[in-house]
Amino acid sequence: MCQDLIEVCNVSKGYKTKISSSLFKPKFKEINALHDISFTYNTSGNIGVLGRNGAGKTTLLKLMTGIIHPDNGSIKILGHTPHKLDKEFKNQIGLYQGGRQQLIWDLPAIESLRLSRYIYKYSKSEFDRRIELFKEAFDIAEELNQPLRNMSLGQRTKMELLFSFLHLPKLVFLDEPSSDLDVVVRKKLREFINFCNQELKIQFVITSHNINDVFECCDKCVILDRGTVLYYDDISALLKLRNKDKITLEATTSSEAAAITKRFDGNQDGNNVEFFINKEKYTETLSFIFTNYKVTNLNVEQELLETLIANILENK
Amino acid sequence: MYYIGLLKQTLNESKAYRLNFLLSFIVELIPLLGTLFLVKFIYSSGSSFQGWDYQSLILYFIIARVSGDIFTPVSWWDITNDIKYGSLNYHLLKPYSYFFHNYFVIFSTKIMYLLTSIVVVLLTMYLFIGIPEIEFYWSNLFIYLAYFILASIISYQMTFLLSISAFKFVEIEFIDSIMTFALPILTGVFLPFDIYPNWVKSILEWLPTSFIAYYPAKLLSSNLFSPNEILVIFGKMFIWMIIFTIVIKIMWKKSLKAYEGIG
Repeated sequence: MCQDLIEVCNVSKGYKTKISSSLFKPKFKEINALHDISFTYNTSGNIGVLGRNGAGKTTLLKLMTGIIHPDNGSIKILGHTPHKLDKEFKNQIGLYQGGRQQLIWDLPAIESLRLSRYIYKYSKSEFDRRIELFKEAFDIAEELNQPLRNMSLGQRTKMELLFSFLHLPKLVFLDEPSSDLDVVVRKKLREFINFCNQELKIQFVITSHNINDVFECCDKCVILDRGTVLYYDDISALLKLRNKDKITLEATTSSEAAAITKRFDGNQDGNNVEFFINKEKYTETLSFIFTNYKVTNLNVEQELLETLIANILENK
Repeated sequence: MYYIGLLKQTLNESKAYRLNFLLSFIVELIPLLGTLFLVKFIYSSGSSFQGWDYQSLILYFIIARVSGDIFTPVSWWDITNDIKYGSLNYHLLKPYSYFFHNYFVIFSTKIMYLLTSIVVVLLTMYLFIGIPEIEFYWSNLFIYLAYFILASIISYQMTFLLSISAFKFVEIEFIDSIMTFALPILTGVFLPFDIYPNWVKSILEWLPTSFIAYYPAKLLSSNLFSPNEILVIFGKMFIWMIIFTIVIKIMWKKSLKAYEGIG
């Protein structure tokens, strides 16, 4: 029987939060963090979870790792019920939560990382081999022998990330992995995730506000909104929804610019015009402009990924 | 294997703090010195203290202080922080026991603390009683070792139990008050229980806190216990260990169900 990597079935999770601090009768409010969520994932790539703040991304991740129990429904990860936290399950997963430290502050990073081999029981030679491999792939050779307290935030994040999958688990959960990283390290991280997935067959569940983390590393994506699944499909299908291009052009006169603005419902600034067109009308529109107007400069931009996701979340 | 690795790593880490350990012990020595000078004054004026001889009482106070430092559950703060701020998430997903993980971290740190403070302890002892005359028996060494292992487990169980109240309560500063005000008396660091009325002494001797300082200080400072009494002490320790094991198991299971894994 084919075993799904992730199987989430009608899962709900709520929290009680205190709204009055009365000594004898405190009042509580029930917050539905997730409501009747279902999806399965069984390909060999990575899956991303997107959504605005409070959408339920981290709650979903905590349920999938077994840190918290669902109120209703069932979850199976690699064939295990996560909240039972059995040893075999723990050996097969890894977790990184942005902004949370698990390595020792005053010891060289390599000393802390060494603990991984004691926890997951693999040999010293295997540990050395893995460090060599990751040292190159993640560009951490210089930092390895430094204590954590002497590292920058980005360097520490890299070490913490490495600790979460140095034992080569089957599935790693990354919660906001790139939030503390600069653009160069972010790019390196995405390459590294893809390297781990393709070469080492490690799969990742990534929750992130950084849309590129998901678009560049994942083949499927869940978009959550107010505790429900708004979208679940392939990333390629999501990209097809990106059907508008932004055109910016410079007309020779302001009257021509005004005419173009009126014709395409755009915005005018002097001789400059900006408007959006559907992809299928792309050729027709450009040919119309070049036939009827004198244009000195024209630029076409694809819709930003952020705009695409924001439009989905705002139900546009 | 994991716990040995952890022990090595924590000892390594503790080395970085050895000066801090030494300095904190020297600071803690100040009130102890006051007590020792008081004992010296009482005995030099011809009085005595509930049947204790001078050397035994000096030894009692010194050992009670060191033993109190080793076994007092000060590390509750680390565990409650793990629970309150969600660092427990990482531990829950690792294939080891969080309970034993912390036990090894705490006691390997305490070993380093003991090693760094031992010179000051011996020096203090020498200043007040010279080189103490203690009859040494190998059989006693076994008893002391067994005692210290059991006492470390019980004191850690108390720490753990207090700490996991953080699952239920947001404000847990009351634990700090217990540690500061009640524990010195309940453990016997402040005074040996013999000074209290018999009924108070009996209650204190039955409390699990008595294993932190009172019993070890009395065991090491004098041979006041008969073999039967030693058996009773070990019996009490086993009873408390079983009670704590059951309560911790139930509370831990219930608490994890309600855990929200902040963050």
